[in-house]
Amino acid sequence: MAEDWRIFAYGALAVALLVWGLILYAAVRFRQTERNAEPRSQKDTNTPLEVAWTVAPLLLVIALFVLTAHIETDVEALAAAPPVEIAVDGYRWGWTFAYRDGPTVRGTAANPPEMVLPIGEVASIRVTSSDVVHSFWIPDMLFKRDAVPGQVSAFDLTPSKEGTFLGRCGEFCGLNHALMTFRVRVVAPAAYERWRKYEATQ
Amino acid sequence: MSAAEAVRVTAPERHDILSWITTTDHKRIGVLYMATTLLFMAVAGLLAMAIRTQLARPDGTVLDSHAYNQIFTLHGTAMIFLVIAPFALGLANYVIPLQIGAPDMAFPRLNATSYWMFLFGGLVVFAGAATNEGAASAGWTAYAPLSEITISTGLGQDFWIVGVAMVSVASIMTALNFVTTTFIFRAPGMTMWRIPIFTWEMVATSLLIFMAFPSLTATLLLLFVDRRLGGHVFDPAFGGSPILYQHLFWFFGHPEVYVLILPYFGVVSEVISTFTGRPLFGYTGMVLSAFAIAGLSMGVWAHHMFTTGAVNNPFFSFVSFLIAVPTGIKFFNWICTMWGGSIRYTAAMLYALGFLMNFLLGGVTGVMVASPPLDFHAQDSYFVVAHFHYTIGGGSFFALFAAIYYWWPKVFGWRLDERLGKINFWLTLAGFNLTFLPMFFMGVFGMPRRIYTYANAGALPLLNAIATAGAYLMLVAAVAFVANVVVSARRREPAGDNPWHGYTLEWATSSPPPEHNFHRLPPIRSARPLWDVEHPKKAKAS
Amino acid sequence: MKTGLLLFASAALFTGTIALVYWFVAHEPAGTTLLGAMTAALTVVVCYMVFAERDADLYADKEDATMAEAAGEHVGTYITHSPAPFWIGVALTAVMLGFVVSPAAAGLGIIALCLLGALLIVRSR
Repeated sequence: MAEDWRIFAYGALAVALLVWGLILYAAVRFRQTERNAEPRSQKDTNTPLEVAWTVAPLLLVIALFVLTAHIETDVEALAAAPPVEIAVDGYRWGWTFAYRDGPTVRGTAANPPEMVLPIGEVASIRVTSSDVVHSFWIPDMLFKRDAVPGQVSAFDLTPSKEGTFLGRCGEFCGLNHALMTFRVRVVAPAAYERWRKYEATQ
Repeated sequence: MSAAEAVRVTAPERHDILSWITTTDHKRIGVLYMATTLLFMAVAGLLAMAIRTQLARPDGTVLDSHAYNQIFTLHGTAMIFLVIAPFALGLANYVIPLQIGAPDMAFPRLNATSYWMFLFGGLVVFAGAATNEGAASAGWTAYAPLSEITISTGLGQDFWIVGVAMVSVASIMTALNFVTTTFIFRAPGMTMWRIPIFTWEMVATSLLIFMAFPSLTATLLLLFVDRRLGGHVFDPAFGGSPILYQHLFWFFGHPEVYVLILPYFGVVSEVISTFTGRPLFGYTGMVLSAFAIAGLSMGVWAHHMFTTGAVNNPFFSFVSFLIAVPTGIKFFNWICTMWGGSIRYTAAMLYALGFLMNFLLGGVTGVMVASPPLDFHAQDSYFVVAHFHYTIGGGSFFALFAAIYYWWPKVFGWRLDERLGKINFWLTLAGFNLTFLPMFFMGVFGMPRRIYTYANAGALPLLNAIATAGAYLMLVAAVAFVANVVVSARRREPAGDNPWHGYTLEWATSSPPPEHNFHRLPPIRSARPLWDVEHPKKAKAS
Repeated sequence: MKTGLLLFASAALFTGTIALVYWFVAHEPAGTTLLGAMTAALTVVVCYMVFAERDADLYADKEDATMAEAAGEHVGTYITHSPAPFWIGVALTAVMLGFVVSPAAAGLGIIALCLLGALLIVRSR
């Protein structure tokens, strides 16, 4: 997804710079001066040009769509037998992480919960809510999925970097929406196993 | 019978307050609308200053969470429903009959009723602040279940529902007036393909209002049923669906943002064409692209729901990408209008130029968030806040001021000061970009929307401080505008019929126009009747 | 005034197409219903406009029409003032707020609206 961002951001910047350039050029070059007191012509159509600037952007956006659809298919793919499965429940104002083969981690705004994940392995997350719409957002992973009451939404996370990452609620949910955070700690698979076994004894 | 006798004025024009309260004259109703929206804009702007003051520093203590939530809810609701859209409707009310050579709107009493419903609806929304638990605080989107009675327990949310419903119905009635007037009341020779581009954009806007606002009214009614009449339409515990709310709301919500921009596309087209001395390039393309945008906008609503996992993302992504094409057509037409022209840089033209520069950034970032994988990070972050402020703020808001500086002499008969206008413009441009450009980065760095405070970490404190500084600069710009009005009102420099040398019909009558608009109309043989008057065709038989 | 018919017909055709495509791509009932309802509403307008077009004979649509040929006898004066809109606004506000706050206000508002409606009808005779 970082690649998606890079392509679109650079593409958007390129288009913006091109069009800004045209606008500013026209704005300066054709301002009224003594030499440019009257408009050069009153011509107001140019069909080949108008067709060109309809077709070219159309092809560009179709190309962007094909790229996007390809990336999205990858992002939304669900593994058949994920090693890690976590049921996430958002509520006003905290999160609960219930591991299929592990502990149930509860947290509040004051005491944010921590989700431990093994690096490089697929973690299937199923997210829902107990009250209003929230959103499970990990900015460092460039991803969020809404927690909607009455539905369970599934996606896969495959962390590629070790570390501790901040998680936030990404859908306005009332008074403490700003404080509804959590943590995702990505560790080596061995460390994850140790953590899991330790939690089982608690 | 001569043209002058065709319209008979039966009584001298009155100027007392009662005559304004009982007026059905489209010009007075237009002025009422625009003045009211500017007052709402001042209020909503001050609300924004409160937001930015609270967010200037991490862990801010200016506002608590409840106050903050009411403030951003009212700011969004007011700016969208009570400022940007109704200003355009008021402007169109004033300008459309003049541009097509009509004496008034088709339904004058309906027109006036729309205004009063809009005013009272707006007051009802704000009156919610005086209730027990304060004004609505679920955002301008009022998502269920957050806006349900169990969570938003106060009357403020109900006041919000009632007020917005009134504004919604008022808008539909106004759109009806616009379409009927444009179809039926055009002057002889003013065929549909000769009407000015602003009027065409208003027809497209009206079509959008017909298609979208009924969904809003229905959604508000259903929410009210859930809240006060024992319904469970959006309550999952009883088989209802919060996702249904989002579908219904955004089916209105997305066309709404095109209602917010199409009139201003029209303004910019008129202003650029007049101040470059050239006809609008690609008139037909501009008309077709307006309807392409309107039509396509009905099919993209769930791009606001990409992160729910409950909608077909590729369908909505594809149609969202498509909208970039007609929008691009408009941009190229504007550039070609300027090309080879002789551009006079009045305050109005500067604002139109500012519109082009700002809206472009809003537009390309819109294409970015049309890509679901990108939107998975950007949704509900300050990236989206920046995107829509660049389109509505950098776009509509700038064009709103272009319209004010452009048509003010026609409405009042005297000009706004040009020097103060240019100062106003540069302050606004600097303040606006200083406020909203950092927000793209705030969003990328993970700052969610609608949070009343943030932690002291990373780049957010610095970016927020810059944004707040920009907001205060915009406040100074607003003061400059008010100063301009006051100074110019004292001076009252007469404007004359056609101070900008425009070629459309509104410039063929006095400033301000007489009660039924025209004592005499020039012959209408093209989209620029006054150009034809200045450049008669020599070889034409009488 | 063929343009108006063309406008609404294109809109109806477009939304109808989108509704069909949306159903087969997404199978989502809410959006399809909304798009379908919109198509139906636009089709009603189109049907009306077909008949309206047959009788349409506006001077506005004649490319070389002159003001003189369109001028006719004085058929009435365009109104410039009316007290009804303001009071309709007040009454409607009372009705709407009444649903939320006070049924008495709603009742009064409805009565006021009926009186205003009757007044308008009587005065327009």
